[in-house]
Amino acid sequence: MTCNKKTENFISLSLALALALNIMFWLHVRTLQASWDNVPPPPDIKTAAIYGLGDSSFSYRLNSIMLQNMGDTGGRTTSLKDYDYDRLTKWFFLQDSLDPRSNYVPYLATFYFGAVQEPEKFRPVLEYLKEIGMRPYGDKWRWLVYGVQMAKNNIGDKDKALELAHILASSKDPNKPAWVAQMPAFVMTDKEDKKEAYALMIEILKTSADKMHPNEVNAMKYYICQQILEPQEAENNPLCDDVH
Amino acid sequence: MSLPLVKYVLTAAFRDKLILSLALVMVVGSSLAIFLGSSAIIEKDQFTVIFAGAALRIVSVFGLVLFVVFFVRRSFESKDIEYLLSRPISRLNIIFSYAFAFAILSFVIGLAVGLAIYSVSPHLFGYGHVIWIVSIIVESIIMVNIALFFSMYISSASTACMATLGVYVLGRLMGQLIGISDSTLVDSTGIYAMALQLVSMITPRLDLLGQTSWLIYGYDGSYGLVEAIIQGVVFSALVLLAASLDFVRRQF
Repeated sequence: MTCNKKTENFISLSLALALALNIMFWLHVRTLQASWDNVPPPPDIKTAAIYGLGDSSFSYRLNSIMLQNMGDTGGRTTSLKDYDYDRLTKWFFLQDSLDPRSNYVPYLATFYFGAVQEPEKFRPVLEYLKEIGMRPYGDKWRWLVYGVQMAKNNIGDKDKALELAHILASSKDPNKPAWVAQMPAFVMTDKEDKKEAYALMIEILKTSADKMHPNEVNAMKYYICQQILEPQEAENNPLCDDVH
Repeated sequence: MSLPLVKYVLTAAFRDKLILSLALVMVVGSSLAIFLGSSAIIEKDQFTVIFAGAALRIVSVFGLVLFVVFFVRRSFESKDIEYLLSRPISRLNIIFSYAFAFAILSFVIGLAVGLAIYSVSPHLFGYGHVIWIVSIIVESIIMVNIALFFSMYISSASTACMATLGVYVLGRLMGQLIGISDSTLVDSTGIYAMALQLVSMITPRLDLLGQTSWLIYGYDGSYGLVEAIIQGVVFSALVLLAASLDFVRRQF
């Protein structure tokens, strides 16, 4: 009986000690968080589907949620300018190999990661937008429009914007709107290459005006007369006679 | 085929609350998928249906495998098998009656998974869903037959479960592993690559079944019902005959 009592007391004491040790450990780790070492390197394209047990679509969605929340988990927030955009771009390409039809990652790349405070960091992503924007299905040309806008207005690289605009204009997507073909002229106007812009717009009017909606033709004329031509030139140009 | 034996197995499944517990897991799994899908900034429905499809597929296979392995091992330990052998029923009859009953369970669970997928995204439902559900049923049938094979051979239930689930993971990854082996990343004539090719000959290509991309983009024509059913038949025949061989030779 005494022995049992002694054992019971010993176990109770040990239990109290174990509880105290747990509390001490808790006090030590309470404020510790696993550090975030920026965007991890993406896996190889050939092994990427392994994350979804061989299911590419499942891998794509898992990675997409990871990309969306990366750096902002466990109460942590990370400024977009602190992300490694080179690695992010590699992730975007990887995701594209897993599901080239989804618009989720292009959306994330442009409307989320595109809001970076230092636009120059976005430059590697332009290559990704160029790649997916050339696809002749699923309105993928929209991502090239964003690439042009980002290069021209945010990064300030008008040569790159023009390169992307030419690719956009040559898009084979049958559903693309008419103004997509005019995009190089918009960039040229912004670059002060107004002669080239004028020549391109006139060429489009000559070759495609009969296939375009009259409102579209009027919008083009308006743009030529108001944005490309100087007021003096517009006055002497018969194209601008009915443009007010 | 012994119909009373089939009925006995199905009764055991109900008694073990397999259907009820899997139904409950499907409700919880679908709810979690809706929750996770809602956190996506766009394409919420696509996220939901893919998360639900991928998760419920794994859950249903795990549930069926656990039931089959523990049911078969329990049949041996409680001398049910010896009792059956004392009756006018052949050993092959026992194996194939078990396999048929497990296939019925796979069919029912597969339909339940399909219903859960439909309920989370009814507007996406199409031919791709039908192909997906059929291929998930085929996958479940393949897996219950593998579980039957391992539980006949291995006396430990936990080891038989681990072996079956190991084959499942290998089957899901086999397409990727063969892809790596065939690529320029490794020497395709090396010993490991050759071993992999050998293993792949007797491993089901589960990665070709139940592709979740069918749930959102529809069926792409790459791998159809016929191939899925052929795979199910040839692989089930392989493992069931291997299990039969052991059972027929065994001394009680």
